[in-house]
Amino acid sequence: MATQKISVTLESSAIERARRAAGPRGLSSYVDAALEDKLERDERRRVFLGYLEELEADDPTPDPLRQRAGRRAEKIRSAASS
Amino acid sequence: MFVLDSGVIDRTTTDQEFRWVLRDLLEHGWEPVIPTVTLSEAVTGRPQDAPVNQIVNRIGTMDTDQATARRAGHLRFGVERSGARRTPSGIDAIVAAHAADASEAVVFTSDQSDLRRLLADCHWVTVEKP
Repeated sequence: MATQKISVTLESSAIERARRAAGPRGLSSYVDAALEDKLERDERRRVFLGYLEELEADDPTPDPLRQRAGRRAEKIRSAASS
Repeated sequence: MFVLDSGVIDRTTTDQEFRWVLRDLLEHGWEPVIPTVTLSEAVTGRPQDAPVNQIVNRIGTMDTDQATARRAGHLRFGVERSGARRTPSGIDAIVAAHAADASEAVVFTSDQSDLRRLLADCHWVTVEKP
């Protein structure tokens, strides 16, 4: 697999934790795996959103339901972050 | 992260309001998770499985590793120790453990009481109906 050296800025504490977690396999390999994992998760999210959009095109949701859903989602998000 | 329990996977296809709740969470970066073990309750092998299959075929499922399975055991034992009359199922405990592994999560389930008991000490996880 082709590799490339790049320069990125990361939080110092995260770098230290990653170094410890990576152990002998090294920081680059650890960061590479984490990036791969994140890309996969983002792709899954993108696919799910696309699917919901397909469903919506076939079966549009009335505005009041959408607004209620928006309020519920906001409540869930704020509960999780508090 | 949002975790879909077995009884709500098909609702992503059939429930308009729920679809928009999920859409909002996805747009805010929340990751969808269907623990693989929930398929044992969500599918029957009949054509009626289509709504579940549609979503599972697109986003896949998440297998449970040993650490998460152990966490499920701890959560389940916690409920048992609290003197609850009924101990939640192993599958519910695994669903709860997947959510507890995240830094912020919501579990969508049709059985809120068992999941709430399992996650009573996990303040970063909320339990919701679809």
